[in-house]
Amino acid sequence: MEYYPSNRFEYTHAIKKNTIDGPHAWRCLHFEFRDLPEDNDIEKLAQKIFKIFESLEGCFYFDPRLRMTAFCKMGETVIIDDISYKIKNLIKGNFMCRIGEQKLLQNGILSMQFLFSPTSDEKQKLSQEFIVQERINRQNDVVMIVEDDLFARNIAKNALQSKFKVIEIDDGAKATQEYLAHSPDVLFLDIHLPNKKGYQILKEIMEVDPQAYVVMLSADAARDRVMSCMQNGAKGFIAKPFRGDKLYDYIRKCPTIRVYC
Amino acid sequence: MEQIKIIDTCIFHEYVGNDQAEVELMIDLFTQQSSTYYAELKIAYTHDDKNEWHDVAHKLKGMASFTGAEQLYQSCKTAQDNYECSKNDKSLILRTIEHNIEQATIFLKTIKGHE
Repeated sequence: MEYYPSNRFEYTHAIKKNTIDGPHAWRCLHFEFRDLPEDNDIEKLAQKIFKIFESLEGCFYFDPRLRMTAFCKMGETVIIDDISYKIKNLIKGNFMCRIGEQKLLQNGILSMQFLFSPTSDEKQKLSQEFIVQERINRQNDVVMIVEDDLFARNIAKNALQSKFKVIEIDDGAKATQEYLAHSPDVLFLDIHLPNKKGYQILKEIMEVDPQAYVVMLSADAARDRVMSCMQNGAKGFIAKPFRGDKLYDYIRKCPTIRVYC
Repeated sequence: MEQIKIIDTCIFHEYVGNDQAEVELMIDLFTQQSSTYYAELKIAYTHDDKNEWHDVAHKLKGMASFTGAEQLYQSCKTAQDNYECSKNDKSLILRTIEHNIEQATIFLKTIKGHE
């Protein structure tokens, strides 16, 4: 087994199969794994894949023109690509497996690439874990304010900056990305923003971080608007204009805030 | 009948606070930002962009509410509520807003200790 720095592992093994050269012939296979997720034992995985190959009935052959490996029995052909779902089930975590380049090496060894990538569910899980770890590991509490009105933003910042690290964002398009970058403990989010509305940002953030502590800001405190935000996961709603201490009413209730306020 | 104030200083200090350094900072910010918003409103008027007119009026109204600028607040609310009115009507509203901004700025400078 050989290790490469770019998360690429190679494994070579021989299996005994019927081939076009004759029955019970040895065929040497070379596997290259790319971006194999952590917590997966490479050698065990390779052996399990070999067992899958050995269990397939039929004549094993490699089509050099199509660069494709297949098993053929009684006119039915199973191409290796079709069994990638079986390999996916061998992996810890929600990852997709795709079979990449296949080629015959000079010494007759058949080489196959197995390419792994996280599903969107797994990406979401990884993002959530990252956010939680960030909050645990850092020294200070972080509050983010997403508000395009400079005056309102300054009112909020002046009230908070003596106790918290304050991140200011003035454009809705950047909000979700900056949230993931800073993992704030509390997010104050204006509804009326340029490029992307607060409702949409709230939805995106709750998908990535269901534990997000988001408080909406708006000059329009109509009941249906408040209810809609709360139903979508917001922890509170502050009508503008607001006093700085109103922000603290919500900050105090945030479970990840450590500063006494 | 109670007259609508240029600046309600109680409201101003309720939201901005009493720290002199912060008060001066926020007054400078009001002067700068109200001028910017007025310019944006004028552009929206010139291009007859109703949505932009509505959004800018909304933001200027918000800033007026934080500073206790009651007259400005009312004229911005009129602008926001009547974002689909004719250009002639908008022209009148724009002039009122310009006048209210000037008055509010002069008043706030007295709080800051100038003039």
